[in-house]
Amino acid sequence: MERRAPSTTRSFNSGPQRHAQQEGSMSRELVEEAQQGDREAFETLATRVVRRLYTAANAILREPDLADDAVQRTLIDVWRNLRALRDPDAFDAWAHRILVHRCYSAARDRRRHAEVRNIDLDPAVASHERRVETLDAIERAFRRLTPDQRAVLVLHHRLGFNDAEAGAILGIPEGTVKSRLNRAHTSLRASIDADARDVVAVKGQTA
Amino acid sequence: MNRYELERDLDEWFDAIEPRRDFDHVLADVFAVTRRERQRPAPFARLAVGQWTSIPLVALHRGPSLALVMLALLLALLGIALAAGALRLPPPPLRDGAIAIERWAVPPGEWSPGGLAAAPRAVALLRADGTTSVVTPPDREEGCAIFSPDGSQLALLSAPRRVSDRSRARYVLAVAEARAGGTKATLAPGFRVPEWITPPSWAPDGTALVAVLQGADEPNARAGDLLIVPVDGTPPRTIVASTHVPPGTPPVPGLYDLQGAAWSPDGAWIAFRGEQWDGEGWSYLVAVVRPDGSGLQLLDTWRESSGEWGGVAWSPDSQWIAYHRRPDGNDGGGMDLYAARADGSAVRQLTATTANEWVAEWSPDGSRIAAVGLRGATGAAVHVIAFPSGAVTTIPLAAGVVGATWSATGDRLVVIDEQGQVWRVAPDGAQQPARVSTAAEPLCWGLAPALSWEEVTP
Repeated sequence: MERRAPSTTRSFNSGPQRHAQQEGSMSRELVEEAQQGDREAFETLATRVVRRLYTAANAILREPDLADDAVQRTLIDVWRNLRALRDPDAFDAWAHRILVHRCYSAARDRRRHAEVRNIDLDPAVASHERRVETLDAIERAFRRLTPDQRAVLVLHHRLGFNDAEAGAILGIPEGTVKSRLNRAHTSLRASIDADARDVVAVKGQTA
Repeated sequence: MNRYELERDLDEWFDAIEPRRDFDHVLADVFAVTRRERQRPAPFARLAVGQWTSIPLVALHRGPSLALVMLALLLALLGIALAAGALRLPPPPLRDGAIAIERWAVPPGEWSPGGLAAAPRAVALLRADGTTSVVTPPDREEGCAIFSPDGSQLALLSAPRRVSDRSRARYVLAVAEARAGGTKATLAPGFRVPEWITPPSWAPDGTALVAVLQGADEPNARAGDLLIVPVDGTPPRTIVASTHVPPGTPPVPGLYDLQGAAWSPDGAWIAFRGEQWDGEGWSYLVAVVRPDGSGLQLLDTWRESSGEWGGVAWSPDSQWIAYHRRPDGNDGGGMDLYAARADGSAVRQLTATTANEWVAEWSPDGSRIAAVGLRGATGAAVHVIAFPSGAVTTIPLAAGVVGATWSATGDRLVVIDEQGQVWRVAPDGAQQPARVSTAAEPLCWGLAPALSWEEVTP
């Protein structure tokens, strides 16, 4: 009987690991010491992880004050519940799980902002007007995503968690991570394309 | 905007919003709180085995109400355990052969400090007697296993096991004896597998494979050519070359991201999927080509897509190719099933549902197509689509379905869900799916494990 290739692509190398295993990695000893109540160890841990947590919160919430608040609450939760963490090696994913839940709560609580602010760009990055427009378009499109879509994009693209790790953080199956990521990409593209069409239409009217 | 451009822009945007500040005030506020507070005690679940005896004492110490709750909880657990023991029935064995799966070589609970990123994968066979045997030797990691037409060999992708950084692994195409286990021969040693991996496909006579491989120096992680790889060790030959451009450079017209190659049952054609840049935009395609590289023909192209990857499935008579795609104008909708005539004369949309149907396999008599449903609008399910009418029979399962294959007689399907459990399913939906695996296997890929059915066991 003929066997045909199954219908699906796999990526052994899925997801950039550029950040996940480096700046966010915590030594097991440090986590264990913090679990024993060593405040100095916890503060070292918090200092190491705070930028990474903020990066995620800022991208998910797109409000610096809310992101600050989510990170603070997350770190306090981490301290309070650190002894419940069974596997010290899982600290990074565990902390991000708490953060994502905090971000979801913050997103639910805040009033929806109708306006879309222009992104504050580093001049070195935004050296070209067209790139600024592109990044503005990404910013607008990203703000239209739901918090869970933002979270999966941040975890996967920015923080380098692979699908299984992102699934563990978000509390969803690996397959759902893929479909959610797929949907987020689709929504981003659709928003960007719609914006581009609007711009063309406006230019056409004003020409 | 194509996938590359979107990911590039997204990366740049993430760079642009990266905080350029310190977090002293954030940490100061946190530490002001934590320096006043003690940590919460560990929950009971973290007590060591020897400490469990102290739980009733802790409960009594906390007060009689907690003691009563603990007692009720223990009695409830005891009752559940007794009921489960009395009612448990032995699962029916798999009588139809073996299924090749891709699983973690080391259970998730025993991962090294490298965690998931360093956790190796292995090919295993779920056998008819319910046992599992691991094909992959301890010093390698492997996946994408496909049985040869006679069931005696497995083609798979194999790499040395690297505990530190799996992303640097260099996979090669290899062939292993299915029964003895272990890698026996490495094919195409000068090539490796692109980042987007699709399983190889056997020629009907078992003498060669078709696979998407790339040269060892290819800088683009996704670029790969369609190669015919003889099993006797003679060098592979390219039949369709993808367009090679360095990452980050503008595309030039041509074919990209070749994947999902499948050899037709009559051996005359190879079908595959890919993407195309025509100078103005991207489109996605299903195409056929002769095994000698001649006769390349695009059967269907479409523009509405995102993450459009996967495979194609040939009808047993080699006349039709089934595949999934999004209908034009429905970028955010479900994935539907299509079929194209191999001679390019017709394309049919078979389904138009809100669920996602991902093509899996054609029934032996060519009258139905099994498609797996991930978590679409209709939830986890296997869909059986009548051909050519397109009538859909949906058989729901508890967990997302990641792969399906037909019995030789076509009277049942064997399905694997994302939890690694194997189910026997009546294609007409007349019977409830029956679980046939004795235990969930730690599948490492939630979307589609390599799945074949060795038709050699009576």
